[in-house]
Amino acid sequence: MKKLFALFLILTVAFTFSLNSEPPKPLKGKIVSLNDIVGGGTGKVNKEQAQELAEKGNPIVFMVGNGKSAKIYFVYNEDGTFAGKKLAKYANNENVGIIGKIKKVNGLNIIIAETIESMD
Amino acid sequence: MKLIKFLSILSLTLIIILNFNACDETTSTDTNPVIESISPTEGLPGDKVKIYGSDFGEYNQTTSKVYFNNVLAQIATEGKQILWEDDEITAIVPQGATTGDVVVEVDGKKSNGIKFTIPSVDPAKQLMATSIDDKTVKIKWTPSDEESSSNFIGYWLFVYPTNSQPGDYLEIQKGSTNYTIGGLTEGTVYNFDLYAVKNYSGKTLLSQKVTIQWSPATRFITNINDDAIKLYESASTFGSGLKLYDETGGAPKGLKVSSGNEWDLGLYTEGSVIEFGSAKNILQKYSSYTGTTKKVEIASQYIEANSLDEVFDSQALSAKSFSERTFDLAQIQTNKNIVFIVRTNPPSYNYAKVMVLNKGGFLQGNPNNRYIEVIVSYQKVPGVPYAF
Repeated sequence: MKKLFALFLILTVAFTFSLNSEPPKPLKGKIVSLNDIVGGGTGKVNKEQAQELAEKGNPIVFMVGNGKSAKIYFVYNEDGTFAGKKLAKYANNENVGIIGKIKKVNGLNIIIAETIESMD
Repeated sequence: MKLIKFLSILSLTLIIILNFNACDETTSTDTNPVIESISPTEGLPGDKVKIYGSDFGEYNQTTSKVYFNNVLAQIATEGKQILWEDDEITAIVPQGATTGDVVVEVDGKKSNGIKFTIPSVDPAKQLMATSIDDKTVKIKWTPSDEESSSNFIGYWLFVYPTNSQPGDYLEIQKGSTNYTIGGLTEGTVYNFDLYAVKNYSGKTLLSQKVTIQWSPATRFITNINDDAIKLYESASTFGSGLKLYDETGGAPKGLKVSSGNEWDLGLYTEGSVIEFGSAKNILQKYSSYTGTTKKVEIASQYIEANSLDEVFDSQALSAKSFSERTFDLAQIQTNKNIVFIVRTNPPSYNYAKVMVLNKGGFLQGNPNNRYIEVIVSYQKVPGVPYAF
């Protein structure tokens, strides 16, 4: 009986917590070409360039912050596919927000994106 | 003997006087012409009609006239001979004449009238138009009442820019109530003239035209990022505003409050309120925004529709009653989408129709990142009040 009550209590608290939780904050950054960054550039590409690069299999990635403190994220769709083509559509935006699960795999920053949206 | 001679002279004088009087009667110009009959009594413009009667006199180009229901007719000729005699005239039914009396006029004196019937076709009614995309317009109409007649052929549609003349026509089958016209140019205003057509004694008979002016407009179902066009709720960190057309991106653009100066439309949510409307009115509710706002007006009436293609208009959008306003979507009880008519960029204005999708409710998505999704039809050419 005590166990059942404890389970009920835990569930109630969890439910209440979920109701009062803050909206998921997007990670804010911009869309860049990894090749350009590796080559010493800023990574900035426009939508058409980004889409062309993505079509050819070049990595279009998400950059948070600027300069030396900038962090590069590889963005994946929830189905496990690389989201480079989707990111490319946002290359003209000054600011892009991504909501999703962030993790580090073998030193690489990964986002499993639920939502990608303009933040201009 | 003298008496006989006197009586003879008197009789002769009387006979001469009487004869003169009789001659005066037959040549008098005081008598009005009289029509006894016409043949045929029914026909089309261009047909010849014989008019029988009396006192038509000799033909005079300026004073001898025939009218068909007050429309002046031409007199038929045979070679160089005008077919006008004192008791018979051959006239040609004039263009534009309608059923009514045939009247002969001589020296300003009018005859009696005899009815001449010019068959007509009941026209289509309630012609309306909508823009499908930047090259296509769809029109619809209520059919002619004569569609059930075996002589009824169908419809002829003339499409031409308002600053030019009608050219070739499109034949539309009997039973049709709409027609889609492609190959048009956005920003050009076209006349769409529709005639009902029937066969009359082997000839083609047209109704009075029904007409509407319209122009194609671009329809957007995605924004500059090729994604659905969304306005997020106030609690979201994503944009609650919308620029109807972003020149750089070539499509609508979602914007955050910080870019409020570019907004055309916005969304504000609080509690159960889902307020959607003009940029100025919505941005006033966001205390964080203190910048300038665009003047964007919305028509007072919105339209419920399942699809954009259902929304037709019978007049230019500029005829609507516009002002800066908002609508609480939560108060609109419908399971259909809602279409708003919007205009921005005064004074010449770009016109648009914005359809807010209803997918079991107007707000979609996860809590705190919920959004309304819209489809936009936008007339990119200013001063052309036709969209959608």
